[in-house]
Amino acid sequence: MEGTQWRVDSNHNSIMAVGNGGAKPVTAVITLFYDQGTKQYGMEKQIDPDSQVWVNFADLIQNQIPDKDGNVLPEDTKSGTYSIQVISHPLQAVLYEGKVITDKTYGHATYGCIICCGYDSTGFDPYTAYGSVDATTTVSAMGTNTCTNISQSIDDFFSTWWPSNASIFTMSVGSMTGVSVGTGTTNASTTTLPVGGQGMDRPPYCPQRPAVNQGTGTVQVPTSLSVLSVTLLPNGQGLNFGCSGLANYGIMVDTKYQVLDQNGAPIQSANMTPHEKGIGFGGSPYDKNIGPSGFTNSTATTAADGTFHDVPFGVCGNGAFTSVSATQNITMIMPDGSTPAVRSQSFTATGQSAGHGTLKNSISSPGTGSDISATR
Amino acid sequence: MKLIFGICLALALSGIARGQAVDDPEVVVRQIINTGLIQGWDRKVLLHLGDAGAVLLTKVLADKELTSKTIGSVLIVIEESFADPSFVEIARDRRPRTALLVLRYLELSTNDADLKKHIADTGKHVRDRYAASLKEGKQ
Repeated sequence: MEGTQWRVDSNHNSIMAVGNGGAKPVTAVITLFYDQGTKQYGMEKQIDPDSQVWVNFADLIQNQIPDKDGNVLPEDTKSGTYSIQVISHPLQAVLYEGKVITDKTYGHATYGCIICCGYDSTGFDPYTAYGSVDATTTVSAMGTNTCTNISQSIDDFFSTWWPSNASIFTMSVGSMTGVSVGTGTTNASTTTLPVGGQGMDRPPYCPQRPAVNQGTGTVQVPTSLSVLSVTLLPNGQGLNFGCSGLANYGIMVDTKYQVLDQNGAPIQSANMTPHEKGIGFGGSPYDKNIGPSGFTNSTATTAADGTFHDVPFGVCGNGAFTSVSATQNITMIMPDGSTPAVRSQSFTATGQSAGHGTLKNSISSPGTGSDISATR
Repeated sequence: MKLIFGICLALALSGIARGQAVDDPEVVVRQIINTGLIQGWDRKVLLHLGDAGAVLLTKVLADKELTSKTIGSVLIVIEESFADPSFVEIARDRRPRTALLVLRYLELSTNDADLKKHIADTGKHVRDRYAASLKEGKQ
């Protein structure tokens, strides 16, 4: 809640009440801003249901009462503003507040508004949630505070959370957990969402209304890869280089892949481990995780956006070679131990003169075609 | 009984052979020496070897004639085995002892001036990388 001005001087005093119109005790921090908003004084107050706490501003100043951090309001402080913030959990707070400024000289009193603070429900964040089998994804019911206009999670108000199909994912407060691959709707409802002061509603009868949220949840499985970039590695000795002077025929590249799901959508997860298996350019089998390779951008698992680098990839020789081939079958090792296949491809490389080489792929699954081609 | 023992032994040996065929450092080194080619996959294996790569070279080279091409391939293995000694899991293998011995042997085995220069350059690279790893280790 954002309050308005308070005033304390030889002729005025301000008294504020903050009440709890909800069913559970809440802890609120009342912050007074003074010295043109540059300084603040904070009080932490426990407020029981149907109770109020009173703040007499003149008492705070004249009695030099320390705040929660030991600060006191300077004796010459005359005015400022205030805010009220609920810090207890659960969030189920239905606060109202009111304030009066009295004029001690003329007996005049100025009343501040007494309003209920509630929320305008704005749906799920994210509206479309993605997860994977056995993984739990955060899905928040969001609302805009009618007093502060700040958007925040209001999960605690929603007592019932359910999926359209529990064989795809299950739901609990603030999350969904993948069961099997597919798409369904996410749902949450409440009968007691405080909606703020409206119409004839006034404290302590703060209005509550039913609310229902609905969104979409998809449990993803890695199904394919898209190539985001193919970067030729420069000549040189050591890590982060391609062919060295000792093996200056051929080519090495850094291929950046994006993991895609069954619908062709990116899987934004850092929990997948790219694995490769096949027959190398020299004719021997290999079977290993793609990273880490020692290159600075090579990691064991995907980045948070579901991308990874296959680097170094290619072949270099200490003499000319016309054409060599390799196969590569890439799978993703998932947190549940499953290993879905995402790509099978073959490569052809040449290194027919010093300082030169070519590399080209041919996809065999899923689909066909070529999306990696590099020349040095 | 002997038959069962024989079958078990054959299965065990075939398992070892299969294990050696996939990503076995000796297989990787032998392939580089035989083909003169180094692949991205090989580099990921050699990166963790350090001086163990040179030890494997002594096994692989035992029955090989040291041609210029073979010497070139040996240099590739040593260079990649010491690409960054901080990645070598066994601490004592970060220090190039056998590698420098192999390089000395190569130097004595050729009169090719270009090859001698490559051998000297590789020796410098290995020593530099080891020194750099010591410095990084102290920081």
